[in-house]
Amino acid sequence: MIFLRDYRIAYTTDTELIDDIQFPQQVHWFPETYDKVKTGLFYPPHRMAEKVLDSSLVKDIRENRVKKQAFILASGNANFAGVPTKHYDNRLDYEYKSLALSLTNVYAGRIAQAFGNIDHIMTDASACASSLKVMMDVQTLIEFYGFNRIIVLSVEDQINNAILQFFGETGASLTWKQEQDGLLPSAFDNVNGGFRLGQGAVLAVFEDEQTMLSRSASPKARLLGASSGSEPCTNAIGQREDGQGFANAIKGALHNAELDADDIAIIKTHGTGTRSNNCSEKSGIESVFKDFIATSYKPRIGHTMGASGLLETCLLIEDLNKGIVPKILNRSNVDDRYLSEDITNPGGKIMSLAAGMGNIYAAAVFDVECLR
Amino acid sequence: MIVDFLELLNKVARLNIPDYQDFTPINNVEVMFRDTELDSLGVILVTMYIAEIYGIPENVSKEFNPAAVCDLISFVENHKTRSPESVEEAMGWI
Repeated sequence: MIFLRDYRIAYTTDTELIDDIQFPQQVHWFPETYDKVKTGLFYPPHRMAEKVLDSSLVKDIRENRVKKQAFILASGNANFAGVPTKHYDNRLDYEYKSLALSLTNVYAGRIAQAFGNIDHIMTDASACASSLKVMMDVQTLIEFYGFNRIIVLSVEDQINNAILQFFGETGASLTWKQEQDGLLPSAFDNVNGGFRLGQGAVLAVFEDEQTMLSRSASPKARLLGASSGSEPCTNAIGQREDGQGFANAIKGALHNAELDADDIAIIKTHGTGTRSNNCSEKSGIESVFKDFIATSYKPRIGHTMGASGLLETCLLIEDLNKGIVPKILNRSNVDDRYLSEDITNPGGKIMSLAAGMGNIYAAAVFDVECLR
Repeated sequence: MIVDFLELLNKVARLNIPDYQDFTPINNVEVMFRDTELDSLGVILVTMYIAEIYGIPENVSKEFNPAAVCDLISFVENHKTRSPESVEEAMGWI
């Protein structure tokens, strides 16, 4: 058995308008992580990581040694420190004076040392599927390689000019003009849709049963199974309408968890709200599940990219513990599957989904009920 | 130097060491960086920050890798193009 022992998350529901760019947009961000970035000496993603690298948790891990421990940095994009650009003259326009420190694996190596003995370090750059896709690695390392503890840090900062330009231009993220015209972030809706970009981070600690039982702390959830999936597609930044990639990931996760579709009660969707994802994810889900309720956190906290899958799963765990499954914000019609209203937690297992550019899909099954 | 270099160095070093990690302030110019809590990349970063503060061109600072604090002081004395009036002013430059 694999347990999610503890986690720390950083996100914000607050928004700020970035208006001195070609496609002005509201973003969910921590402006202080950008202080002085123009000197090239400060890295916003590193500052985001520090928001979840809680000293008490780090110390606890370091002092409670296990036989085999691994560290995974799931950073979404290959260049962890973002994309330096020179397009516009504002504070998002930054570059790095130390290339080495902007490299994902170098940063992973440095952070891993904080946790004491580390036997395996890996990085994952599966775009927005990253933090959820590594659940498959967590399962593999613990079940097949005898690891006792896996520390997953997922942080990504894509609030920079190049990405805002790219998403604004392609219509993926909501522009300020669209918002002024009345469009609101939502998912699986006929009227509202799309996302704002967000900064987010999550630090999660997974342990095997033996390690978990040797501690007095109670776990937050059980990880039952995980899988990634893909699909034949001629567009590496697109998604198939029939949701084959989502379906493959879902089926793989169910198989690895030794569960049937009927065992899943709640789905945390990727839920970006783009037309493409609405279609693809809905098709994928409905090709496997008949009876379910689904929610999305992106309309609430923005699209935290590589961190989103695991970060949103932790948010759902918190909401379930409060007794609710939250609605998808800004739904324009009543919907009791892709929730338009908060509902009481019906109990049951969770299927978390994520998707990333490059035709990468991830699914993981968690159980909170079994710990009650 | 006008400012207390060790005070400045400790502030810059602290910036490079995350909150979850301990840092014992450096109190002697003879201290070797390998004996501090800074790792090798940390030393590079501290050198970059100090170079920025003292207006030392990047092409010069990139070639320099100090072993001890006194090496860094000599380097600054030899290459600086400006000097802060106070530690506060220096920290405002980075």
